[in-house]
Amino acid sequence: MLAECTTIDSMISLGGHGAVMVVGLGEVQVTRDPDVVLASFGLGSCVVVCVFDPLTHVGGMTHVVLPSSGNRPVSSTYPGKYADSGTTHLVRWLEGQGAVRSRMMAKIAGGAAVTRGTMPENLFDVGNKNVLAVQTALEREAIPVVAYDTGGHHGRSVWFWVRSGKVMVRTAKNVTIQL
Amino acid sequence: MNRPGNSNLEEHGRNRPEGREGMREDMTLYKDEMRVWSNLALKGIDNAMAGLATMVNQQVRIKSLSLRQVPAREAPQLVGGPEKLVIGIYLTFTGDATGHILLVHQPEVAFAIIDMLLGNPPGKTQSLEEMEQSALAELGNVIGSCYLNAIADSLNMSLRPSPPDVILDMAGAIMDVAVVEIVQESDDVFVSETTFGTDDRQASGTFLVIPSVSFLRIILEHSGVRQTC
Repeated sequence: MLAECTTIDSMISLGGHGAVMVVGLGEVQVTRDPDVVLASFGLGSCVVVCVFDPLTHVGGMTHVVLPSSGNRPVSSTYPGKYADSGTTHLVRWLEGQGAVRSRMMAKIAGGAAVTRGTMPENLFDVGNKNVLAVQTALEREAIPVVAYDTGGHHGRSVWFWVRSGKVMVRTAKNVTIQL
Repeated sequence: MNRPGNSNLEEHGRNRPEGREGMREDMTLYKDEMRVWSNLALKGIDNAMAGLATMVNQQVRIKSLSLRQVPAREAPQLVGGPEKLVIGIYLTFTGDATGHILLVHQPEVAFAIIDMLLGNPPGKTQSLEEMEQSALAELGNVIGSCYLNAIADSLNMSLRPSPPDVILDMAGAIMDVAVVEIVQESDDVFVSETTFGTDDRQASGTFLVIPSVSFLRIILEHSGVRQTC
């Protein structure tokens, strides 16, 4: 398992001149630099949405916290907080950077149920609801989900190579998978 | 139990501008409001650490106390960074106000505490099975109840703890559970953070209390430092 950890770290360090850009809770990042690796660490019920255009190598990541904004205003600090508005924000930003929607593909990860039930009642199953809301939002934008690693009971960290569209997921159980 | 002097208590909060008494909608706390919250938090923490001392049958020393407002995205840093593998004892509370209580330990420290709780020779516990989880859940029950009783008595309120959940996972994933609720109402998370340890340093950890926005509103209204519509 240690070898797998090293694999991700070495892939990042050998990945060229680019840097790892961390996408925190509720944040959205888009880049045109194909050497950049977008990453999000320690996801529980949150869901990471990675969208890329394989021709222009424009890619972006949203770190979704909750399924729906409802009628609440979306804070400019956390434009990715909600699955619906966060996905829309990501897609518009990608288009602004030259990505073409008909070529865009998505990979998603996260949405775990970390506790065995201890949580406020209105947040029951929030991880699963986040995943469904992200799928709906992507469907509305006509962007296919080509790979995913969602659900389960453990936290995840996610790395997204914008150049290739490759996504690596490492779980709290120290299992690494490629999407 | 020993508590550091007041100089070690970090209190954050803005100076209140003149003529700005009461009637605010945002949840940034002014210094006088933070003082109300800190006085309550201290009562709760004292009682919680007394409960812990009884459970592990050792003197517990509070190493640091801080009350702060942190951006939601930085919350996992409070427990060592989002990827750090920790054991969290997590419970919520409901009643007249709501919030989250989280006791976080490095796994090897949690194992040492389990040995103390179960009367095992030091070093026996090496994994988190059902018995070990029950021992930590009981610890969470005692600490959570002690904390909430002290605050509920002070405010003449009813606060009820949930059954605790014992989780071995990435710190960020555990913090998600609390943060997800808070960010529905606020971009920032208010947290009281206590680090503690026994004299032999075997039982150390971080005790976090994350009140919901409604909890803060209620205690501030109760104390008379804030009026809302």
